Amino acid sequence: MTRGALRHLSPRATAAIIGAGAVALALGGCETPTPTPPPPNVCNTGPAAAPLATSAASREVVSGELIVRFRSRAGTVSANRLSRLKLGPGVRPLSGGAILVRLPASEVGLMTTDAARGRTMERAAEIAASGEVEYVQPNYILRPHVAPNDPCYALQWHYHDNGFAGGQSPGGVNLASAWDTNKGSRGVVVAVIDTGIRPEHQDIAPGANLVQGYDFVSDPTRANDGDGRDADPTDPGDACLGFPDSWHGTHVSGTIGVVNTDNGVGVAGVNWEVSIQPLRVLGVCGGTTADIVDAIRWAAGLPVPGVPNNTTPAKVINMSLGGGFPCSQSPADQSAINDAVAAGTTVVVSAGNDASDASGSTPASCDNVITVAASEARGQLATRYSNFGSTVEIMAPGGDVRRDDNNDGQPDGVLSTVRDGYDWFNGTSMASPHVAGAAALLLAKDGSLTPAQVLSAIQSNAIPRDSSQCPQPCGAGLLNADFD
Amino acid sequence: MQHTLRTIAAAGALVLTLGLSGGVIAQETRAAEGSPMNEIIVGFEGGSTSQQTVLAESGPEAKAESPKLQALAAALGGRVSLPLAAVRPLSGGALVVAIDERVLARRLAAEIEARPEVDHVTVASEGSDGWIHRLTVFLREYAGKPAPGEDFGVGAFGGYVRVVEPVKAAPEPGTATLTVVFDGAELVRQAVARLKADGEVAYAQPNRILEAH
Repeated sequence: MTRGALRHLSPRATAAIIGAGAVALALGGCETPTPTPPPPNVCNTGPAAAPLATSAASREVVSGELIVRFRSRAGTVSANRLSRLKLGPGVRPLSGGAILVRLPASEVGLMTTDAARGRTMERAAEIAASGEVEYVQPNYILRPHVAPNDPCYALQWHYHDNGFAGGQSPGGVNLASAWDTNKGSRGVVVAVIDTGIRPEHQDIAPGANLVQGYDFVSDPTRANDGDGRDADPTDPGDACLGFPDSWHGTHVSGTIGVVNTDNGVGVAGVNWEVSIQPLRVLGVCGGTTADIVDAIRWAAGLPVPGVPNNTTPAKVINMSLGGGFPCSQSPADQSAINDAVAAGTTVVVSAGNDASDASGSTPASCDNVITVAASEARGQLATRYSNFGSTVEIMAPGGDVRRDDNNDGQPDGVLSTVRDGYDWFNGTSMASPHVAGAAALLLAKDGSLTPAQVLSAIQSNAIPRDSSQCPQPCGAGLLNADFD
Repeated sequence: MQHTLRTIAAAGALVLTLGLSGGVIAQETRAAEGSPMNEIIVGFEGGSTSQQTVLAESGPEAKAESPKLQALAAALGGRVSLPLAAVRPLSGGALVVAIDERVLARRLAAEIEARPEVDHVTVASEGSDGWIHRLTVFLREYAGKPAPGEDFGVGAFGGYVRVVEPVKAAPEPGTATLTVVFDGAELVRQAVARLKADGEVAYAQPNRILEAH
């Protein structure tokens, strides 16, 4: 493994070097970023590197069936014993001394599926309480996960099922299970308000998951593309004060799902199918409030002076950006966010990388947004850099390129696309698109959900964190993208 | 008005150099990293004449050069005693305005020129859009006044004009120089405060720079 130089994404981050912001490492595992052209690497071709375990993530059961192992396994299980436990006939022996039993048809036969499942669980609890069994459990229905064949998917620990078993990660958000039933939909548009996109990327072209975006950078010098606002959101680079181009928007968009997942190349995204709308607001050394608020409204389908109307309004906005001032000092931001939410668009934002309370950052401290703190591969708050506090709604993987807690020989950053290849970045910028992507998954199943309902679903489904995992407030816990 | 990287990355303040009898003092750059540009976002009260004007000029073909928007900005500037120019209409019926520093520098020069000991003042603007304005003050008759160490009373010209280097003797006999800082951040702060007090303004804020996280 060869580690490249740290890349700093913002001039403000330079002061703290690693302490803030997203950094990219050029590593042997994936392509090296600019300035030198990247060589081919393992993300380009080849089969998926790690098979995934099956799981009972969907929690489906065979109604009326239980697996039981009695304390005394000598001889045949008597009919009396089964009768005493009100179990019906149809016993089938299983390996390991357990048996498969069936509840009487009179007990579950006429019930609805949900009711029968509930009755089955109740009876399991009753039998367990009898003291006669070593264990009793429902006969779960498991399905093989639809693992994407992208060769670097195995390195994307942040998508794996949450846990410690093979193929799982304690920092994962259960996408492996979620994809069993929901891979997203191109009917859901997610606006990425960022540095733009590199549409020619081998894992993005021909752009099946892209819709028309816009370049909102009004200052030609900052825009770095020779003009002000225009209809081309291609990222020409944002190098600033000696720091290289970040390709930040391409990385964020890759996580949400602009990449061609399951194409045998590169990486996977949260959504296999989605419509990413790149809205460019960050240019050389950042972007302005004025350009950002126009992009917010345009994304939501609202009019913006001097710009053609958006014909494909977004249901979700991701903003992995911010400034070090509270939202109370930026009514223009709050006004635009309120307008977007009123139009039915869910707004997801990063908490910031100052390892401080997010109440001092905008848009993280604005009302009506889903503010996302960052976790690392252990599923804990990334205390090295992530903002926190009462304005944070949820935590999601932002990674930590300084760590390798999963011992895969690679940094524990979030792996996604950059200009000519792939890179590990860390930051709340990387956490936010996981949540935006999860919101898109929700909306793919039910496009009528309001922003408040999306937030409620995300928070109620979160994996709880204790004070050792989140020594500072991190919202409802770690994102769980499996909503089944 | 053109907008260049001067508003992005450079240092803290616009420097006005008052060269007494021809003294020339160093220049500086402006705007500390992360500090606001000289642009201000102004949101107007719903239904106000100002908001109606902005909304009427906010179609898909909207242009910043709209005479009506420029007139609105000028009128707004008149009410807050600062030269304002319209940059562009913003979504939601707001307006981005910029403080016209070139006009402000000329206005400051005129005020200085009105002092009895001053013969005339020249303004030299540098940069593609005139982002450094060097004011050279020629004294009508320099007789040791203002004395070395004095601030030439620049505080009277506005809270955003600060002394960097008090009056000191220049190499040429009978001359002296004074350097003052035209503090861009303070200028914006004062402008925002004045705009907020205007009856038609719902909010005013600096057009700040945000960065990727």
